Amino acid sequence: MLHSIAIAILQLALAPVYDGVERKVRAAIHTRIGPPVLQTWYDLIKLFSKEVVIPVGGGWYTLVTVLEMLTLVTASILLVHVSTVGLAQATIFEAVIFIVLTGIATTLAIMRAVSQNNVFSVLGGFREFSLVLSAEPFLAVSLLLLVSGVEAAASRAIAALILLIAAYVVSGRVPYDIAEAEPELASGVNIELAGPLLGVATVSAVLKKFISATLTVLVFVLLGGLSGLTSLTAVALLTPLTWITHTVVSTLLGRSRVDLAVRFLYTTLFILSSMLLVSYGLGV
Amino acid sequence: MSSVNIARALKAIKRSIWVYHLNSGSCNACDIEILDALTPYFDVERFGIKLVGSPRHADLILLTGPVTRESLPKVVRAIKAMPRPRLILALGSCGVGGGIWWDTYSTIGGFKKLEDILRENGVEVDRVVYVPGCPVRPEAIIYGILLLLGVVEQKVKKVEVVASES
Repeated sequence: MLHSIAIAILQLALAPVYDGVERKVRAAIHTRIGPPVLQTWYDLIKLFSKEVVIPVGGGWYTLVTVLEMLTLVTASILLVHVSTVGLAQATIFEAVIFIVLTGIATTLAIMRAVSQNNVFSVLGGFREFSLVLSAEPFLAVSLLLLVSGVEAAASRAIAALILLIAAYVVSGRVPYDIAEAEPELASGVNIELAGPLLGVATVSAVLKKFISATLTVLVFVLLGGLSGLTSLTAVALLTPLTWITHTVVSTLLGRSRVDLAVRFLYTTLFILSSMLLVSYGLGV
Repeated sequence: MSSVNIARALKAIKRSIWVYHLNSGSCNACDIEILDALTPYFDVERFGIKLVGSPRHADLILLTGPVTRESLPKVVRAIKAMPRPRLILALGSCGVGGGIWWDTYSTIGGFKKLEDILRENGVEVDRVVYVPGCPVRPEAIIYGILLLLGVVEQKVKKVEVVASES
């Protein structure tokens, strides 16, 4: 377990660098130079050196923000731990813990947003809530099905597809960045955060991207049946590559209306889940 | 009483500056130029400059307009909402000194007057740079930000001369 934590800390220290690479890749697609690769680290250093401003809500608000980040750190360490032992050997227990941890983190984010004395923040909280309802139940079902060791090829393929889509949504990229929305709309779950607290929320956002990329890689590793050191190496190498793939997808995708994006996602995942149910029932 | 080490924070801001666009009653010409400066064409992200939607996230306010009496309380609240260090870029002829509206009844006449009001309200501003122009050019906005951060040197300096009788 200590071994897993050490690797997880290394991976988490690299996560802001992956985010910097994401910004560089997006800039390259836009044919511009873009920020330095360490830009996300620079942003975090800046945020943690700024004034602490506690808006209406006080200590409760600060506690929720920090707890959200700590929950996501724990979920990330769990994912890295699973990749060191191989997803083929992961248990239902580990999958349930992961689902519960991500659920708690999302609930804390919504609580933070709706507890503020700011109507724009509450609006962002409701958008986050609608997104969670459309993606996370499907993510949980497909993850449990994959980890439970179902042999049927069609069921596994559909579950993997659902997990890939849901993992992308969890990362909070376009068009599923609707919780924070566009900067011009001046509304979102982070609107009242300032200085170090905003830094903590930024770390949480980067961790969500890390979890999304690692989860996507783990699905492929599971389908490939890898385990042990091979699995660990594969996950460590493929995580940044998946991160970049997500970046390219998000840069090429257009924005969508906040209600249409959620409706389209829900419909797609509902149809895929129905197909999964049928294929699982038929045992194919 | 501020809980922040201003010198350390200003050093950190040099690599990452988040800007908030605040229109205090401008004709929108400067605002269009700000949007132009933030497009991929000028690529300000390479300097770590990023547009944000809340003054709580901002390090720098891009202030346009002569500050109308109607907008004054909102402008003061927006600047007060920024965590320190607070930086301001007063843009355009109106932002700098009120422009042609400098003495009209409905405006206070640019940032210089606003600075006094902010001081009276206990709102401290750590650095200010004035960028004149009608409208201000995108290149001038970017140069102004870099001047504010100390990345580039000021080209024009005030020189006092005494007229000789001979």
